[in-house]
Amino acid sequence: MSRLLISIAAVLALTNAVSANEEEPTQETCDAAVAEARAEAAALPADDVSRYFAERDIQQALVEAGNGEFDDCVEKAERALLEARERPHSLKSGERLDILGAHEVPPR
Amino acid sequence: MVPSAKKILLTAASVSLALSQSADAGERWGEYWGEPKAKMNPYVAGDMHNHNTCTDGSVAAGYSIDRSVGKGTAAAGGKNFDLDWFTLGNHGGSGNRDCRFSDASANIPGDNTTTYWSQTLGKTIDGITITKLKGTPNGTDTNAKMWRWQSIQEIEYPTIVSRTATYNKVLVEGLEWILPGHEHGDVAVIAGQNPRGYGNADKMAEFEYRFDRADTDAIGPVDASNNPLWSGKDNVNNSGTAGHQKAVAGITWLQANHPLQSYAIPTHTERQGPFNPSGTAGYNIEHFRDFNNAGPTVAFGIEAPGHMAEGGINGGSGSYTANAVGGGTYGMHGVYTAKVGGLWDGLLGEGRNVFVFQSSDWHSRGVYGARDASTTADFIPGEYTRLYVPNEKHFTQQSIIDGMRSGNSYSVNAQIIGSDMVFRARGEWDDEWKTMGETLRVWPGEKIVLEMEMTVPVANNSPYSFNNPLLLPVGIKQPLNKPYLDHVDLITGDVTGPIAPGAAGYAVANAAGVAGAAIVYNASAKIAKQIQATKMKSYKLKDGSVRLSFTTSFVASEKPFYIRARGTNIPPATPNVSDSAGNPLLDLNNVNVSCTDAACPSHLGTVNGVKRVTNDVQAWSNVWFYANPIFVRPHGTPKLLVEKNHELARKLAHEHHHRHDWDQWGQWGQWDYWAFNRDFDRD
Repeated sequence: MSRLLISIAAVLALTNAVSANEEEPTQETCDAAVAEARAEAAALPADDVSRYFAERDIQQALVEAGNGEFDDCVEKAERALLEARERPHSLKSGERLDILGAHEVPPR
Repeated sequence: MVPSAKKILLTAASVSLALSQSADAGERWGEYWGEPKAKMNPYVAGDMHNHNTCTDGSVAAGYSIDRSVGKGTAAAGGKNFDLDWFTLGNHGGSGNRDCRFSDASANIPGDNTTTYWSQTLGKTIDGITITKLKGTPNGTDTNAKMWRWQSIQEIEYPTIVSRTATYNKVLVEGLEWILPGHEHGDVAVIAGQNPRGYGNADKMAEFEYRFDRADTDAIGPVDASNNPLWSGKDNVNNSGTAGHQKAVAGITWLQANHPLQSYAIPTHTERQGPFNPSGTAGYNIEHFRDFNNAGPTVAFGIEAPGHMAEGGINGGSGSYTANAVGGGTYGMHGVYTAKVGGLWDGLLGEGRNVFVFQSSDWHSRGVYGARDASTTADFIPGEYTRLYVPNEKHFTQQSIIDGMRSGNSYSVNAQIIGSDMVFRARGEWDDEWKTMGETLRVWPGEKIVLEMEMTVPVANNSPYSFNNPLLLPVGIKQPLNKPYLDHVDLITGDVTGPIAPGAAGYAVANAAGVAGAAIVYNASAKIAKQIQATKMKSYKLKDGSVRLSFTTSFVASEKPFYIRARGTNIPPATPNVSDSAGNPLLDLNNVNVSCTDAACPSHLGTVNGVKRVTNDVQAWSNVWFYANPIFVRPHGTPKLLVEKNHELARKLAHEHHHRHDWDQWGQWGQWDYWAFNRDFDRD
């Protein structure tokens, strides 16, 4: 429970930081947020599932930037950063994420 | 060899089905109304808010439609969701990806390379050739962006045309408007659109160009002499109070030009917190009032958030952070619509024609690909959320807008009920029933008879068959893929008439976070009756689904009021989910519940190694539907604004020979603040 409370506090701190800033996020703000999240994720072992979650959030942050939505970019990058720091996802032995690869077609 | 997705699209099974044959519970309509040939669903299901790679979605524009309205299973895997209608509602602004292709992250065989406009100029793909990125140059190389007005005209609308022919369903080119000064909103302008053979989305594109704050293009389309076709754009006032005025101007433009062929509905309205007079953030109640005043027949609603599977251990369902008004979602709705006495009830308390809608806000499946059954972000349109509008013999684009505007509409998550809801009322001395959006006229003291019927389908689209973890603490073992209705709330509130702009109470101070949930906008609103499903009449239909019905009554006073309904699978006082009255708690509380079944999926967030109710499991567990209000007005009292605005729509339709079908009208007069320039006549 204490970990949950810490996580919530971290989210509150991040969101308050954004709301306190009256300036609209820019490409530069987005780039900085993505770089920070990317560095945090890269520090995790390659097979850490939270690293995978964080990298998917970073990918979406870049998509938002490509759409010119820098506020959404920053939000996704912050979520990636939190994922990499808090590592709320874990897989038990033998567990895997059931994701179809682009080369896989399920039997009909 | 895996076939190319492009070929898959071209060879997809051609489905030619009338809407009346859609395969959900409503197909049995004739069973209980005794008309064997009456196979037409009373309502049809759709989605008006979704994204593709033209902006920040994960799949191609065509793929998104294929999965949403197709039947059966997609050729490369993944269930299709058989919606009856679909409004493509993608962001305004610009995008750097070629949206004839999906993003690599979607993991779609044959379509798994993210493709940028800079790589495809001059090539013919899916029968469309883009030779140049028009308007003000916007980025270089893979960051070269196409303005959305161009992709609306040249990519999305042609895709709508091709898919209309493929599926014989009603498809609309719409927009998720990034409002000046505010959050986002759903807009559609159907004037000019006719995907069954000709037409265009020029009016939709023009609105986007003129009024979307992310579209800063200063040129737009040009004529043969290179003169801009859409002159006079305000490219300055995009934030704060001045931005709000530009947003009002946008709604005024819709009302003036397309009063019956457009809508503008603010969406995920709590997400960015309160309105920021010097920035771009959410909405306060005065902004909804301004919009409805400026556009009485176009600004008639609020859309509750999508993104229902985004909730992790820190919250996030609906894409709401702790900074949202209310601090997050409540039963997968924002607090404006979830709270009894909240912002929506405040607007209904004025008698306004402001109705609630909900759609998917489909972008991606988070850590999963587009074909996977699980999601940590969004659901595909039709998979989880269905927006119902009345069916018609000749259902068209106009039918969608007319249905939404009428208020005769309801929104359902997780298929907790089907397409055949009945929610109607009449006075005991009158035989005329009134339904959602309509106004029942009664005599003070008259008994009001209210009927409600609904079908709980035998199954939903959930991939999970383990028991709902939120219900286990109250002793209910209910598989997540089997819809279950616990009760229906009938919520009433007094109608005291519209508040004039600038008058006391027109603007109300708002607050971010959970403090925003304490604001009461209509103190008279209350759960007047709570009807347990076990107390309803019930019988099984042929396919195993269950038809529920009840009749109850109210007594008319001398004051107007409204009755709205919501239903849920969550009993009152369910720990971490609902309060003792049955209201949804902040959804973040669901995280306190563990998911301990061996089948709980591996992507759920964990606390101390124990999986918690998060993401799609949370969404399939915490299920609600919302029905729009029936208004009740005693004889001798002034007409309600909802009645006047419905009359305006009828008058406009009559004056302009509105054929309830595709046509195109020219410029109309100004209707700004129409509501306040009329006498409050009595009947």
